[in-house]
Amino acid sequence: MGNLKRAAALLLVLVICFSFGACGKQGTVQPDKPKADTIVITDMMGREVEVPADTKNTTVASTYGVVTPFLSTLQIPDRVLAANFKNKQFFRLCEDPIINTGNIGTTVNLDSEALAATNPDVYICKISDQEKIDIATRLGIPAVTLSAEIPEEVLKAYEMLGKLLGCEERAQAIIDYLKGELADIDDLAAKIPEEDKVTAICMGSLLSRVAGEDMLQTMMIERVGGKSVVKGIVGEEERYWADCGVEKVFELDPDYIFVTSSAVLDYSMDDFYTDSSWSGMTAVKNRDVYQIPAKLDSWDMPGPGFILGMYYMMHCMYPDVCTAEMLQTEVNDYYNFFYGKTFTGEEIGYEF
Amino acid sequence: MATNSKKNFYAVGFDLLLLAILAGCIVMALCSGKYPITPKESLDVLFGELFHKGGSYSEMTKNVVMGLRIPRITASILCGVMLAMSGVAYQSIFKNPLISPDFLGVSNGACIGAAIAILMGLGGIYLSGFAFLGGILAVSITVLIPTILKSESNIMLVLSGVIVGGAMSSILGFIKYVADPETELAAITYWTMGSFSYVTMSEIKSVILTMVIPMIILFGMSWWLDILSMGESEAKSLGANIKLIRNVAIACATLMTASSVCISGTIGWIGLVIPHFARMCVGPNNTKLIPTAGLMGGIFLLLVDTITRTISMAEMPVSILTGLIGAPFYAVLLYRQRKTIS
Amino acid sequence: MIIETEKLNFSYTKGGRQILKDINLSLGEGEVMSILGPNGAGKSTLLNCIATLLMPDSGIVRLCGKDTREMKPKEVASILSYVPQNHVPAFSYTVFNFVLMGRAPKVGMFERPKDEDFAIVEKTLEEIGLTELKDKPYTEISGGERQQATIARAMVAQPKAILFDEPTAHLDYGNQLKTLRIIKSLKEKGYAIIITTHNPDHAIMLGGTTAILDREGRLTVGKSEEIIAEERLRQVYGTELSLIHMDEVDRDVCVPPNL
Repeated sequence: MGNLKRAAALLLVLVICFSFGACGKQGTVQPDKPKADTIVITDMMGREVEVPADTKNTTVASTYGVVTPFLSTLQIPDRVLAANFKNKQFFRLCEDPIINTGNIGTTVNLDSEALAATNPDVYICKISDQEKIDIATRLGIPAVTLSAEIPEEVLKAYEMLGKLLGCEERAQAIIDYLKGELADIDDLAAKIPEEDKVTAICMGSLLSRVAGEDMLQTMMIERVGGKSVVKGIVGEEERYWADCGVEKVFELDPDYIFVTSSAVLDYSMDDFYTDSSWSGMTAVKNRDVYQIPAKLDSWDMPGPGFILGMYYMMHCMYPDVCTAEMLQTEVNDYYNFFYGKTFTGEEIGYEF
Repeated sequence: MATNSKKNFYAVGFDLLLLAILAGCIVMALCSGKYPITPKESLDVLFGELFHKGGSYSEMTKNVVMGLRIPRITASILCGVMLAMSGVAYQSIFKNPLISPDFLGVSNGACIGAAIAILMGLGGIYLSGFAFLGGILAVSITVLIPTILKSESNIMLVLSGVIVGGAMSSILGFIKYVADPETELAAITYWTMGSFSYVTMSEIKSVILTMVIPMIILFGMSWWLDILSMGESEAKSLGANIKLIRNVAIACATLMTASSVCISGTIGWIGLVIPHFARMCVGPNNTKLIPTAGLMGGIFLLLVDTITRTISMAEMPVSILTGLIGAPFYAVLLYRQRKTIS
Repeated sequence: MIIETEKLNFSYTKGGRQILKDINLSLGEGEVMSILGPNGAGKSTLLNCIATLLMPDSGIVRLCGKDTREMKPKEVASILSYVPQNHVPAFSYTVFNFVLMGRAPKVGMFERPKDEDFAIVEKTLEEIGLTELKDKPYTEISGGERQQATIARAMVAQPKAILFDEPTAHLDYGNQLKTLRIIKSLKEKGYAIIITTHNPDHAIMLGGTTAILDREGRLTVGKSEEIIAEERLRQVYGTELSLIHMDEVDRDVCVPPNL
C-alpha cells in the first residue's frame, strides 16, 4: 500500500495549493453596512422585525414568487436586488425594469451564499418558511414574511410593504383602488336575484382536487354572487387544496366549473369533454367549464390579480350582470393602473 | 514490543496523513462558495470567533463563515465519519464486505419518520426527532423478527432486513403518493437523497451525543469485532459473548447512522465504498479500520458537499454525487481486487 | 480430570434420531482420545456439546471438575480450545493477527491484546514453524499452513484441552502427518486432546484412547490397542478391511482389500 500512501500525500499537497490559489477574491461583494437606525414592523406572521429606519432606501431581495408582482406594482425596481419570476414574459411586456434584477433561488430553494453576496437590507419570504427565516437570520439579514392568500391579506401585504419600503403613498393608492374594485364587485353582485344564483366550484391541479371552503377561489366565487358547493370540505392544512376525490365532485355537480391557473395541471381542459365519465355533469353538458386566464398573469394567484379573476368569474356565471365589455374595461383599467399598459385578449390568454 | 502493539493496532502514520488532508479540506471548504472569501479571511474569522477576540473582517463574512459554512462543514464531516464507521461495523458483524448500514433498514426507517413529520407539517427539531425514531424503530423490528423466531443466525437477520426494507420501501412509496406534489413531495424527495443546505448548529448539537458516545464504544470493542468476523461458532469458542457484542455493535452503528440521517437525510454509498477502500489501505483489522474509515468518510463527504454547493445554483442532493463518484470508484476497487475475490 | 461427560444425550429434533445416547467419557492431562465413527454418526456433534457450542438434552459436561452450565463462555474458552474442520476466511487478516485472536479468552471487553500476548503469539508461531509467514495475509497461504495457523491460534490461549474436528480432512498426505506430529507433541506437552477422524490409522498412530460412536448414539471407549479390532472396524464402516501388524513401523496398519 505504499503507492496509496504516496497518492494520499500528493492529494494533501494538491489540496493545500488549491485552497490558497483557487479561492481568492472573485467577484464583488457588497461592503459592510454602517450600523443604522432601525424601526420595528410587524410581518404577516405577527413577528416583530427590526428593519432599517431609512425606509426610502431600503433594499430588498426575495425568492418567493408571490412577492414579485407586489414589488413590481410598487414601482421600486432599483431597490429590488433579487426576485423570483413565475412568468418573465409578462414583466417583459410591461417593460418593467424589475426584470433585470438578480436571482438567488426559487420558492423552494434558497441559495444561501448568493443571499449573502447580495446582502439586501431585508429578505422577504413566505410565512412559516422557518428554514429560510433561519438562514437569513444567521446571515444577519432581517427576514420579513408575507402571505396573500385571501383579499384581506393582499391589502395587508401592501400596507406592510409600503411601510417597509418607504412607499406608503403608492401602497395606499393601490389599497384604495383594490377596495374600490371590491366595492364595485359587491354592488354588482347585489344586483343578482337569489333565484338566478348558480353553483360553482374551482378545480385544482388534479381532477380529484378542489378549492376548499376556506380558499381564495371559493371566496371569489361567493363574493361575485356564486353559490359555493364545498361547504365542509377543506384541505389538510389551512387555506389549502382539498383532495376530495373525483366522485365527490360528481356528487356535488356544480353548474359551473372553474379551473385554477395557479398551478400546473395534471390534465388538459379537453379532458372534461372527452372523458365520458364527466359527460353527465351539468357544467360539461352546458359547456360551462372555464379555466381562469393564466397565460401571462395569473388571475387566481395570491396577489392583486384576484380582482380580475372575480370579474372573470362573474362574467362567466352572470354575463348579463357583468358583460363582456364591462370585463374588458375592468381588465384594461387594471393593467393601466398598475403598469400603465393594456394587453390584448390573446396576450393575456382569454377570449370572450 | 510496545511499538509492535502500536503498529498492529493503529495505522498511525496513515491516519495522521488523513488528518492533515482533512484539515486542508476544511480550509478549502471554508473559502469555497459563491460568497468570495480568501483562506486567510476564513481562518481569521474562525480563530477570532472561537477565542472571542474579534478581528478586522466584515460582518457578512463572519456570518457566512460561522452561520453558513461552519455548520455545513461540521455536519458533512460528522455524517461522513458516522456512515463510514457504521459501515465497517456492519461489515464485520455480518462477515460480509458487501453490506452497508442501510441493510437493517435504518435509512428507510428514518426517511419514513421524516416523511411523516413533513406530512404533519412539522419541521426543525421535530423532523430530526421523527427521523431518528423512525430509524431506530425500523432496526428494532428487523432485529425482533429473528428473536421471535428464536434464531440466532446472521442469515436470519439479513433476511429479516430484506423483508423489513422491502416493506418500508412500499410504505415510503405510499407516503410519496399521498404527499402534495407542490410542497411536501419535494421535501420528502430531498430527504431521501440527502442535503446539508438547511442544517443548523443546534441540530448538530442535538445529535452530537448519539454520535460520539456510540463511536467511542464501537472503537473500544473494535478488536472484538475482529473476533466476531471469524464466524459464530469460532467466535463463541474463543470465548466471545456473541449476542452481547453483536447487539451492542448493531446498536452503536444504528445510533450513529440514524443520527447522521436525521440531520442530513439518507446518503448512500459511503457506508459501502469507504470501508472497502480503507480495508485496501490498512488491512481488515477493525482497530485500524474504524478510525481510518472514519477519517476517509469525513474527507469524502466534506469534498462532495463542497462540490455540490459550489457547482450549481439549484442545490443538488448529495446522494447524487456520492453515487456518481462512489459507483465507478467501487467498480475500480473491485477490478483491482478481482483476483483475490474468487 | 480435564474433560468429563456424564450421561450426555442429544438429538437435533424432538423425537428425531438420537445422536448421542448416555455418553460417558473422561480425559486427563496429557491424554489423547481419537473418536472414530461412520459418516453422520455425530462425532462433530459430540465435540460441539463438549465445547458448549450445543446444549445437550440431558447430561453433564465437566471441565476441570466444573459443570459447564455454570461457566461463562470466557471461562470455557480459557480451559478448552477448538480447532474447526474448515475455516472460511471472510477478511484477509495476517497470520499473526489471526493467531493473536486466540488470546481472546484473556482479553477484556473493551481491551486489546497487550505485549505479553504478543510475546506468547511469537513464541507459539516459532514452535509451530510459521514465523516466516506471520505477516502474510492468511488467505494467501496454503491450506496446510492455514491449518497450522488455526492450531497455533488454539494454543496461544494456553488452554488445558484442545478439540480437533477432523483436522486432517482437507490436507495432503504429507501435511496430514505433519499435523499428527504436532498433535502428538501437544499431548507430550500436557494438553488433553480429543480428535475426530475418519482414518483408523491415525488413531493407531496417536495411541492413547479411542472411542467409537455408532449410529445409535452409543460410545464405546477404551485403550486404542484394545478398541481398534478388525471385526469392530468392519462393523463400524460396513466394509471389508484387514488390520495387519507391520514390523517396519512396529504397529498395526489398517488396509482395505483390493477394489
